[in-house]
Amino acid sequence: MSGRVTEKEQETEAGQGSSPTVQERYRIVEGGPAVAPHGTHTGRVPDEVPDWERPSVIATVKGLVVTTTNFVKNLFPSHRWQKPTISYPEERRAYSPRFRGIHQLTKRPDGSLKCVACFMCATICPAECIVIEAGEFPDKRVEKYPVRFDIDMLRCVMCGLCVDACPEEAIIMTGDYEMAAFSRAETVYPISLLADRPQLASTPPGYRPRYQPGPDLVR
Amino acid sequence: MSETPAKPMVELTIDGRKATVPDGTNVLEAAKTVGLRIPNFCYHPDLTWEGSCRMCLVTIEGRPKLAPSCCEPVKAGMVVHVASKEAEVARRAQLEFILLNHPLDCPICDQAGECKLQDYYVEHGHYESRMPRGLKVHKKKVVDLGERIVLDKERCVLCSRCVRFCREVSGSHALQFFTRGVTTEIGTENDGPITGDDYIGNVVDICPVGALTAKDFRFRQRVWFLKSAESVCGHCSTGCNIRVDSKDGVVYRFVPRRNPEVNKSWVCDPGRDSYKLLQGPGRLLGPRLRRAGVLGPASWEEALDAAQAAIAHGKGAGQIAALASADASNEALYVFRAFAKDALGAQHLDYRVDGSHERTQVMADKILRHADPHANNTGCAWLGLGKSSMNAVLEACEKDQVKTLYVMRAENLKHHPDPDRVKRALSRVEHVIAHATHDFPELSLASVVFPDATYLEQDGTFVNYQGRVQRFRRAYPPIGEAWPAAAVFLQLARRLGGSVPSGSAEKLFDEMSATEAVFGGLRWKDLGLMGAAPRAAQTVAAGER
Repeated sequence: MSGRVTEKEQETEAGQGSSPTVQERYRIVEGGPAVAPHGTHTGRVPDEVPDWERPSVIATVKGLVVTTTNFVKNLFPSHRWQKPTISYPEERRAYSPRFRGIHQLTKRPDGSLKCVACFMCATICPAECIVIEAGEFPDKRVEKYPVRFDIDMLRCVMCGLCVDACPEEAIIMTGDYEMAAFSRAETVYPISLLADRPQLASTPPGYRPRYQPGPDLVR
Repeated sequence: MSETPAKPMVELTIDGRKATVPDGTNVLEAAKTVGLRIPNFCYHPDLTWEGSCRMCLVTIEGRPKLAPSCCEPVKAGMVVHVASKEAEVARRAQLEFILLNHPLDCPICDQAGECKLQDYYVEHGHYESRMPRGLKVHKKKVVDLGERIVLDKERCVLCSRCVRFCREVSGSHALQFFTRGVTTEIGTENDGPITGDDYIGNVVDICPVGALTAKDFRFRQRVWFLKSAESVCGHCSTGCNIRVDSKDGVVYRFVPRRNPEVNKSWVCDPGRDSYKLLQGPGRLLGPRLRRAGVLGPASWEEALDAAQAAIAHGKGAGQIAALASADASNEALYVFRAFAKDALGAQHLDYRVDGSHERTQVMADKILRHADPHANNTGCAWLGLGKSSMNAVLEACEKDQVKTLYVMRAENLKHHPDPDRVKRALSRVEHVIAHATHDFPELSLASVVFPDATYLEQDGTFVNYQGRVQRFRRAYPPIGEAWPAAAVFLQLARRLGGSVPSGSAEKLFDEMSATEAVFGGLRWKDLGLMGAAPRAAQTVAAGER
């Protein structure tokens, strides 16, 4: 038997003559690492400890108490004992009006994009997920517009800095957060998705710090 | 300029700092020498003094009024205050005047990021305009001035740099002031297109604001995304100093760098456009190899193997010719010379493929451009690469005395005065090994083609028509599988058992300069940003011809 109580421990036990406490019985014995990498006690428990006092049994019982309590609570939901989960997608959580969800490119009343392709969002973007190509707009007062405006949703960290940087309020964020896709290519959102995706009609608004309600903004 | 006898030096005090500058310098330039930058729009070192923007006002002791420092020649004992209260107030007020009718459309302005007005505006903290929005004077925007320039009259600060450029440098008088007072604007006659001015692209660079923008660069990229590399234009033998602005291996523009000895602050429009010729379409991205009579893509290993076999074949018969290129750097040519001698054992070696070496000193216009379309004919001459002649090489090919022809830059063959003769001669050669940057129909005559890196993709030096050695720096790594030619020579020399010099461009240059008397012992670190001429260079260059 390799896991013997050290001689010193035996001496103290004999000298005191009283029965050892539970802590003392759990003291580390030779033959196993004192502390496991995750910090739990893994030393062998001396043979004289009765089975019901072993840590595994105590912990299992404690855990069962928690599980059973919650199980019973959820069987009888009341206002005080609200269960923490919801039945997504039938049920949806209400998020803050500043929620930073999928971006939206806003439009002028005439339906053209407000974006003037100034690259401020692409410049500030910490994830470098915005790709813009600029073109010459027929209206000389506008001059510049994005021929291409892609946001790679897989790279985007949803920080909202693009919205802060935009001088035209051309990019805002919505409450829409459903962007699962079957391929990586689908997660790169072009202008058509950013400005005209069908979900926009039903999504709550998101982060748009300088938004002024009025006919100016067509959502 | 450096040869002119030194002017007497004048000492003056600027903001308590002692400046010693040549007589005739203006206060603004003198302030630069002691590390003071005075705001200015209209002053340009290579144009006449105008003093129209009034941004550079300074206090000069003993004068009742503020003086524009750009129009004030230094005098001995002058005491100037740039940071005086009244000068600062005046400059601030002047900036507010200039900003009164400025549209402040920086987000869509191409100049944003390198705009003097934007810099000063932020420096002086003029964030709030006292001009009511509706009262601003609006002028024409997006005026199309021909092939190269788009004018925005609203953004103009009326510094007249472009007007002076057209008058003094290009001589086209294309841009002028029109009307008076608050409606003053620059423009061309009836806002018509500018034609017949091959230097008009420079007005975009000298415009301190975004009034003149280049069509070529317009909206293509924001300037802060671009990486700059100090380079030298390879479009002719003038060797204008340029900055190559690129991003992710795509060049967006060439911008002239000031070098008073060579190009002042200018570059010609064809040179400015030459970046397009150095990129796609048609760029060779991988080696090609002739298999069963058809030239097709191959791996580097296969191409090098084939080239080795072809050279060994020609070497065995003692019938090899090598053609160097006046588009290559001195370092590559230096390696090629050793390669041709030791590894190839070439019977013929020459660089004068298209006869352009005769025109190296011939001006193509009255300003900068030379008639020699290659950057380094002088360097080839200095390195003594003209050991044979193009005629002799072609004759040898026609007499079937050349089994293997090694061409350092196949594109040069296109420009031979008699291309049909070249084609006929090449078709008689068993193996043509060619380096090329771009694909072209005649390339099908080669048995092995190596994709060559352009000068934008490597470090090196050119020698311009004056005999000035100028460094160009790598703007981005070679695209595709292209290699710098010198690396291929080294690989082949190792396989063939010859020894060629190797190492970085710096090491090669220093080695070459130490062994070649013509370089006058110039060191790489002496070249700096503007290049340097070996003392005896002019005479040697003249002697070679």
